[in-house]
Amino acid sequence: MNIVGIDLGTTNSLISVFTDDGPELIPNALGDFLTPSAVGLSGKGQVLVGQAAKDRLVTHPQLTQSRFKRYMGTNWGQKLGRKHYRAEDLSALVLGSLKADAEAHLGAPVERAIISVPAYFNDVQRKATMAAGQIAGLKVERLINEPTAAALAYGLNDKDGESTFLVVDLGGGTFDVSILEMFDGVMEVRASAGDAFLGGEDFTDVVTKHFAEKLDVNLDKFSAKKAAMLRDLADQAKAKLSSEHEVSFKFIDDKSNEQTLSLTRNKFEELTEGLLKKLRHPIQRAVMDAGLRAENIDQVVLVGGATRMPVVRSLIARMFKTFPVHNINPDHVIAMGAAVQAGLVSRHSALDDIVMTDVCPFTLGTEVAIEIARGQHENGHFQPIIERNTVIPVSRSVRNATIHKGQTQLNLRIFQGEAPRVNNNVFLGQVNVSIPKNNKEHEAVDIRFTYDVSGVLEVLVEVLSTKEVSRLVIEGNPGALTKSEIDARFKELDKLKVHPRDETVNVAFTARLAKAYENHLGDTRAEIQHMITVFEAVLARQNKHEITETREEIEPHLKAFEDRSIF
Amino acid sequence: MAAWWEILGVEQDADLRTVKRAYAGKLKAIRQDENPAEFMELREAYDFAKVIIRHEKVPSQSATASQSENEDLQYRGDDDIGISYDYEPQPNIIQKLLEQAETILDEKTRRGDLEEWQRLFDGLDVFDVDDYTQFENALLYLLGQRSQRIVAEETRRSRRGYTIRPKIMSRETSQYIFDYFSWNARQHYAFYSKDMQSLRTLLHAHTEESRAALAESANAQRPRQQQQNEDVNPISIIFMVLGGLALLRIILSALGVEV
Repeated sequence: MNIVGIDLGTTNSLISVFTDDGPELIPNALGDFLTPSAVGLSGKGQVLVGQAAKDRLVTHPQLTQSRFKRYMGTNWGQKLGRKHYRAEDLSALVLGSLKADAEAHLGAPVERAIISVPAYFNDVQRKATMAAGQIAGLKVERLINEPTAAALAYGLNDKDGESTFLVVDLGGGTFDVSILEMFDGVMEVRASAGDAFLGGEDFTDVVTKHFAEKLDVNLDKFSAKKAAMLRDLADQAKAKLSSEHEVSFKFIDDKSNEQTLSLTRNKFEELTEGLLKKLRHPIQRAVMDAGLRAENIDQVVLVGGATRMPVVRSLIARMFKTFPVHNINPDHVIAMGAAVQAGLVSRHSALDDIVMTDVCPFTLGTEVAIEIARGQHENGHFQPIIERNTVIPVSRSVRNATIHKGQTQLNLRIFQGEAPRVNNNVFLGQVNVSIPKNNKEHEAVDIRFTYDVSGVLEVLVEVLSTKEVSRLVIEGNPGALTKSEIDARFKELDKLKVHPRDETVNVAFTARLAKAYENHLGDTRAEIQHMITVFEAVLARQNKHEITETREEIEPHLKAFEDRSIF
Repeated sequence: MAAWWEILGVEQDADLRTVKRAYAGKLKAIRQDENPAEFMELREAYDFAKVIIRHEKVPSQSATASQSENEDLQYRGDDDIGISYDYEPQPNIIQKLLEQAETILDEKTRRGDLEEWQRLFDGLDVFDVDDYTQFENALLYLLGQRSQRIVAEETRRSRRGYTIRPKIMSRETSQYIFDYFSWNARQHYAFYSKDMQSLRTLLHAHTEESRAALAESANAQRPRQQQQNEDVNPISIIFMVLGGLALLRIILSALGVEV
């Protein structure tokens, strides 16, 4: 039975499997390894996932969603058609599409998966990711931290060596830094730090804003279609600047005027200065936590599509006075590592002599009151129980006492973070414990935190006198889904009509044509309109052979138009 | 509970290389997800072994005093990967920025000006990771030192019946500086540092010898901390993980930062 590895990214997602020849990526119906993390509805109300949905972001912004990973575990939701979708639902649809690709490729059902998450994802976000897997009908065997996955992919190439390396993972929406040490087949994460809200998409946003200013338009008042188009072009401009020093493109504004916009690499550097500053801090912290100096780090590895940007590379090179390594495609490396983890979990014989240990990247603890004067307590202090960068799995406990004699209730609030006061940390959940009435002395409780290999937290509270144990159920947290909610959503999403996989190519092609139509004017637009008419007519005749032929005929012409819109 | 060397299956005087190899061997025989308790025991033994070995290896009469001092203060580091502290910082850049920071701090109007600090920190962009750490620690020390001095001076002046709590800079400005380096997080990290915690836990669980070794290292720690407080040269206190954090408390209260 295969366990698949999944990189569920902000911008793109990938699926992989561990074979006798090592980790292997699985292509989607379009033959690509990268499936855009976008979900949309077709005109017929069918669910579209991937490239087709991504292209339809421009033509049908109301019927399409992307970049939802940032909202995992929150109450955020969007309507697509008549239905309301949470980030978990949309992620489940992406996972479902990847699962179908893997089943088609492997010729066997796929039920178990390893899913990668940003190291800096908190407990709520991790549970939401597991919920998304369950909604997609997958048993999530393990979550793996993205930089750890990357290190596994790199480490496998050099498993007998002894080295220390730093992984910088700048994905579409998240930023992670991890320091790993390798010896005798052991891969040990020494320290992790990051920012769950910093990624390539922020760079695109900055460029989009800059263009909006140049066009003198207010993005909020701009039509959804035009805003999506401008962002799409900004994204392409950003990508192009990785190899060129200047890019220009034509944009058709709200009044159907064609405008030329351009951007130089220098201007881009200036625009992204603030974001680059934000990249430095987690790196400094990881290095400091691991107690290392630059010279102790043998290799700096770049992961994530956003590390293609020269500004990011030169920042890293400056900080470590060395050129970072990126032998493995930065878009593929996490999925490759997730496959290695799948191999480890399924005890693949090729991985017999490899073990990996990870850490909990943040401090977990509870709120306590501190006695500031005799009989006078101050609430809101943070009591750390599991320290950040502790090797996992880990179980630690502390003993606390009630504030007042005769107290019968204890409200224990759980937080994650590094600030001494809970206000500045992330609230994870709470548990209410009944205490037997004792007017003579303070009652004591033992609080045990257990953090497992997937980075999921369990809290047990034991009242010493009664031996009664309460387990934390995250309540009052608007972000978390309960078990029954997950089951309900699974049934509901299962009923959705997903666009047939063997037609994906045609849907994606139609979406591409429609997007190209939006991006052009005049003669070119008329030509594209002609292509659309021809292709739709062929589609209507339902002759598979004819459809493929026509598509292949149109493709080079369409490609030429697409390339012309950005230069 | 068995002693660490029994859990790892090594001799009591094993070196770090042997301990690592033993740990790797044992680890491969344990499934972390299926036997978390066994894994945790092995891991604690390994962490503890590293602490013990590191402290035994600390050269008491090393070539230069500052070197041994740094090594000891930085005891969360791992000797095995050959950390050496004789690095060559670029004192000119760091010193220049530090002098600027001093000038800003000495002038009442300038030290409260957010933009002054923003401009100063812009200069950090060219730093490598080590220079940055060095600057950050030196600045932390400098802020602590100056705040104490300012507080002392201002308090003397207001002895006529009433006390004014001197304000060094606006909350907005101090918050900016603290956020810039995430010092709130660092304060926490030092007081409850991982090694300190496991050290404390293990102290009760292990044998007399280990306890003695730990007590010795703890004693070795104390006088050094005092030395640092007397030491005024900011550059020499690069890795004052412990001393700096005691100071941070003072700064926090002096600057009135909400933590």
